[in-house]
Amino acid sequence: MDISIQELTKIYPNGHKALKDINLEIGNGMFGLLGANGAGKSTLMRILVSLMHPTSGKVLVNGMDLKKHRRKVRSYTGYLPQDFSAFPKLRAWEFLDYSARLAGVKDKRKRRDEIDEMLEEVGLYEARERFANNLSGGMKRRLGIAQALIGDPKIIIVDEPTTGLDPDERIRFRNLLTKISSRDVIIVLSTHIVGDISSTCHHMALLRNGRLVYDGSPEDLIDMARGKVWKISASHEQFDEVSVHFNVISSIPSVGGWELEVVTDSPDGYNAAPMDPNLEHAYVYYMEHHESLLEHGNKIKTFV
Amino acid sequence: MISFRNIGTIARYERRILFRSWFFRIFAILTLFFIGLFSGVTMFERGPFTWMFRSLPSIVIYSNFFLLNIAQSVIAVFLATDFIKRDKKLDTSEVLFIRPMSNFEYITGKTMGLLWVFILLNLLLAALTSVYIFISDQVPFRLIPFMAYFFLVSLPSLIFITGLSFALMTVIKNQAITFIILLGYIALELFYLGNRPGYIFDYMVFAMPVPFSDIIGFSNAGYLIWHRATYLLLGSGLILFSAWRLKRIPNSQGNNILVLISTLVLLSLSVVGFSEMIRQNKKVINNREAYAGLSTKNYSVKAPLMKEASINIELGETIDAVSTMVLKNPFDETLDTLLFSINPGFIVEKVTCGGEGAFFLQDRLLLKVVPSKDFLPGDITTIEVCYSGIPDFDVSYLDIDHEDVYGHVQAMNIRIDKKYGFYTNNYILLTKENLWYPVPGIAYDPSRPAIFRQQFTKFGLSVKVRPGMVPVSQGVRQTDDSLLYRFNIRDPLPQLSLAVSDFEEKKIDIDGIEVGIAWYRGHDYFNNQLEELGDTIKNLISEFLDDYERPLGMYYPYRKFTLVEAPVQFASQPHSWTAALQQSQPQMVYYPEGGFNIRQADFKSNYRMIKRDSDRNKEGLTKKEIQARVFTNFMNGVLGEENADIRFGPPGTSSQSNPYSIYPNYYYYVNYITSEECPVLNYAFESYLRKGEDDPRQIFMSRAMGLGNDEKANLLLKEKSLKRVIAEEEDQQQINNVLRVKGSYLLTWMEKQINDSNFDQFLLDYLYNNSYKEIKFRQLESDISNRFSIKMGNFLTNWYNESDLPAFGLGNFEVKEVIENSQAFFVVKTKVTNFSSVDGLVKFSFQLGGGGGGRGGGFFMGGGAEQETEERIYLIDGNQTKEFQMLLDESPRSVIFNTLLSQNIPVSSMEWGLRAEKDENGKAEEYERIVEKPVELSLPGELIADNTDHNFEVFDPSLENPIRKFFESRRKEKEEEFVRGEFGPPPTTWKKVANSDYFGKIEHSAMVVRSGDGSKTAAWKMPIKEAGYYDVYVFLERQRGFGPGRGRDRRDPPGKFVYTVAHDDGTEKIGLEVKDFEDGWNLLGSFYISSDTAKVVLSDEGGADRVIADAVKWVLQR
Repeated sequence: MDISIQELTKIYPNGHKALKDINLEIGNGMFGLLGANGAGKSTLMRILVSLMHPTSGKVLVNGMDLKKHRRKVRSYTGYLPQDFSAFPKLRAWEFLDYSARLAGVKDKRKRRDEIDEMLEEVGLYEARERFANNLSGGMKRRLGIAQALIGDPKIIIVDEPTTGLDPDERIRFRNLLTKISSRDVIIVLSTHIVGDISSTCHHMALLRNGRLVYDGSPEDLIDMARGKVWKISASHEQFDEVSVHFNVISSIPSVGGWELEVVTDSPDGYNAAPMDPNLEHAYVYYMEHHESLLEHGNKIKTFV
Repeated sequence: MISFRNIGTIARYERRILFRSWFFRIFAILTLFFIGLFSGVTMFERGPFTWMFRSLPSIVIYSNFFLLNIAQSVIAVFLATDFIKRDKKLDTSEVLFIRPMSNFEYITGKTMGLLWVFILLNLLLAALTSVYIFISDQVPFRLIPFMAYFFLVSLPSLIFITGLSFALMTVIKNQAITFIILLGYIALELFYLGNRPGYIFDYMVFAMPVPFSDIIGFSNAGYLIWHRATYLLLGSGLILFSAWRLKRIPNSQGNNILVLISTLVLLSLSVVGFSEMIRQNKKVINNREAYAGLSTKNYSVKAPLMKEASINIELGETIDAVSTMVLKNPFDETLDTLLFSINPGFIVEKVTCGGEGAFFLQDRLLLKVVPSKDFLPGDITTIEVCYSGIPDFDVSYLDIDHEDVYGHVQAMNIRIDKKYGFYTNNYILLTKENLWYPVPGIAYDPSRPAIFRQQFTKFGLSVKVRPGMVPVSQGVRQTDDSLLYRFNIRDPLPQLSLAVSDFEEKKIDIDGIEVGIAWYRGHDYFNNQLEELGDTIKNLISEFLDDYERPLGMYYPYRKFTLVEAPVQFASQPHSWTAALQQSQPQMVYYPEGGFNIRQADFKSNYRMIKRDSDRNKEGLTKKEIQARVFTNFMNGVLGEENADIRFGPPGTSSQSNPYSIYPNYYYYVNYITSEECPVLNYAFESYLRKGEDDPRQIFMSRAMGLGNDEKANLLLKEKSLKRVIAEEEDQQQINNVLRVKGSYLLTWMEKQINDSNFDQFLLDYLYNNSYKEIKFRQLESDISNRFSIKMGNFLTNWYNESDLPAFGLGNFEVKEVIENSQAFFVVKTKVTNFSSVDGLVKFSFQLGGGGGGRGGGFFMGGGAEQETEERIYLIDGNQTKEFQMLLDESPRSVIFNTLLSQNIPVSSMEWGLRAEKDENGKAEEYERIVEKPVELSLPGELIADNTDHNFEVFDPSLENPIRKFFESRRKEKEEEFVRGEFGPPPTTWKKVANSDYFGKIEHSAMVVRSGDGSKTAAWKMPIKEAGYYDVYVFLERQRGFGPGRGRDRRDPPGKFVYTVAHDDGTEKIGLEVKDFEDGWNLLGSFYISSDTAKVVLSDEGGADRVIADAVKWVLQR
């Protein structure tokens, strides 16, 4: 199963260019789409689930043009939108049944088993008889992922799934996605939370202002930031100065000052020690420097 | 490829969501509760006004679906728009939108889900209705009406309004605006669009009458199906339009194009449907106009007399008939063309004249025959016309407005369409109006509708029917085999009618008259209700006839009378030349199936009520006696002069006569008086001879219901002469009222002029001796002159052409008991002033002796003892005052003073509770003398201001409201000058109400308004010439509790009237408790008044049900 996005552009009627010439190949497994709010992630997601037409370009799923084989592709797809909420007057299992039926699970017994399994998997089995409006935020989100996963979809598209979840819920959710990604499916995870991708994806892309700025593995992205992450011990007086000059990733108060993590090529003039970068550092570094990286021809193989 | 599975899934969960919404649940419960309550009352209350719901199996079903349809239309709009709105909450619907279903499947599924919950509601209502039907055991259960109303009324309405809501919502995208637009549309449909011709815009079948007859089903089934199919297609088209417009990328562009094409196809088909409906309606109008036009064009063609007609008719898929007519040329000239009218649905195949083939030409309803030889004056010839086809009933009542002919009759929330004949598999009904056999001349003269030529023909009829059918017509029926029936008709008749159905019959012989009833098989709901009567029924019928004929002084002229059941839709229209309606035919009366709406036909309830009264009054009536009363009430109500049908209102208030009355058998179908000067004379005689006695009930009802027909007629005659009324007045009912009043006046005048008690008998004998032939009025006049030595002079011409009316003032009654020759007599003295310059007649009708009548119970139930009445008629010249003393053998209890044709409002007044005082010196003599002193309403020293005086005025600030002014100015219909009395709701602004108990000289009226906050006032002013203490009175009527309210409220009506009296020391507010009112003058108090103008103001505060402003009196204390 693969998705090929070719020269995809979306311009809204008000003239806003949400996506510009996106080219992307997505294979089986978890694929992370990272970008700031408004970068175009949701637009791309909505195009992928055929809720929106692109202005130009095409999406091929297993070689089939989405535009021409919408019904077929829809039958492969599960989708969890950003702010999912179920019909308040349907019980948890009913909503899953509704989704399963539409997803094409015809056999009643199979459907029932699958619903039960899915409810178990997302930890909602006990709440199966509850109306959606009686579920907590986390439960609703789990119900959302359950409906996206029901019917054994080959493409699962989840848009900002962990926003608003507490840490336990988030971890649980990531684990669930990871588990599913082991099957022969594509999971497209759109998020602005770096941690979601670092802990789940082997392939990711970065969107910035509608443009694809990175397509590769998280590790490669992290490598690009190696030697660029520093821990600076700063006095109270230096804090503001450091904040102005560098991208401060974190700031922890210490005795007599601050322990600051910054992303920069060289922290000259400060008491700095190099650190091992993580994806968050890499994301910040990359988003900060990718223009200059481009200019200096420091282009890596997966760079678009 | 459409996935029904997807549709089913969406429908399944959408309906679950809907069904769980509290909005729907509350609506459903309330709807079921209120409709259940209403139909429960109608099925179990068993009073006379709910009988209509129990008389036919389908009426309660119709009523319930009608009510449900209105309620569910509103709610469907809300739910449908909410549905689409929900789709705009993208994150919920998007998870569904990415599923592999098509937009068509999605919208169809949603629609199905929506429909499902409403279908469930329909089913629940149907179940509830069925339970009522079974438990109440009043009507048999019928499945077909349930299905018919569901599939033809409810479902298409739902689909249409759902489609419209979906479509508008997808276009407007705002639920609130869409909702408001749709509610506005529904309101427009209910109050305006629905009633447009052909009910084309009546999507929910609110205005279109769709009663389901147990005999013929829907009378307009074809049109109804077409209508409903059109809305179904339009609704489906709009649903598809919504699928096309759905804000979701379709599975494929091809799918969407297919949806668009389907949308266009469905919408186009609905356009075809609408066009066809318009075409059908136009066709009817055009046909009728063409028929009327043809008649107009040929009105001057002289038509022969039809002396005899033998009609042989075979009823199959079509009618095949041969009519052999014996014709006479009554004119002084040769007729070269013979003109006949025949139903335009028939094709005339052959015409022979005197046994030889004749040249003929048929142009729709006109048949012109050229006789094979000259038809000379006085000659008699035979014409045979062979024709066949299916009758076109649109030819009926060409003299009546299209809207009236195709209107409906409303009874509570049920509308019944009007049909004037039937030709169905189950039932055939043909009357003269349908021209089912050729008649000479034109059926109708549009230019002179009041001129109608009655012909009496010796008919013969033979009918061949289909197996299982029985024909009913005039004459004695004979049959050789089971399919061919012959009717031997002894007397010449003006018309024949024929009913054919699967009738069951029952006949008995009463004094040589074969009295029978023919009912549609299975509709015998009455025999077991009258089972105890046995042979007594003969006596009851005989007594009924005696009682009916006694005041008429005439005898039933035929040897046969049959009550025939007709489909509920059978209706008639009043012609301007007779009060006879087609339900009442010679020798037979067509009653509506199941006795629909005839309260006296509700035998069970009437039995219960009489039994209850009997138990309460300890009368101890036996079952047989009660059944006898029930049956007598039925006869009086249906065939007598009472209005049986509550559609036409209580007695005296209806503008239409009782359609089932047998009276036409006594005059209209037997006699015919013509006059060149006054073409409506026949109608005048018909009205007069029907007169009966002045009925206290009419006075009671007219005061409760507003102006009676007599007053309406007089108001019209005050403006224009009878001739002009006939020529100019468009309201046929008004013309009928006027003719009745004028006719009654004419004959009363003759009676008075002749002043011979033998006149009535002379007239009756004259009519009897001239039965079945034309009587020329000049001949009648000459015979009267010869017999009674009077001259009518120009009276008839004036009667026809002049419009001035007299105006009478009535003095007080004095009743004395005098003894003469040891015998007690009663003398009643009064005087009357004619305040106009025109002569006029007044009539006093005394109710004598005790028992019966009286106020309250028993008025309408036909019970009560017989009352003796005695009448006096007096002629009073213009500006003349006459004093009368009337001598009676028995003590009078009450008297009705009837001014017949006058400016008086009301026309009649009644003086209740007359009490005689003994007068030992009085003389038992009767006199009528002219006196000088006119009737005066005030005594010396009394100053009276009435509501009709110029110094009375009312004030209502709300009338100044510009919005109200705007709507008032746009109001097209002329508002009635007088509103209903105690039975009507009080008006929101000051209105006039007439009542003989109110103060007045000519017009006894007052102003009335609903109780309010004190802002509406009425003021009486009076110039004061002499300063002094004045007793101030207001004229009031004791509240008798006929109006709304129950129990204590009715006995002690709440509230008070608040008067402000102006006097020298300022003003004083005085409240009079309504419960303390006395009839007549009520004292407010004594006040010193020296100012120029005394003033009393009544305001609408005080909390009374209604505030009435009549008259104020200032009496100077000496």
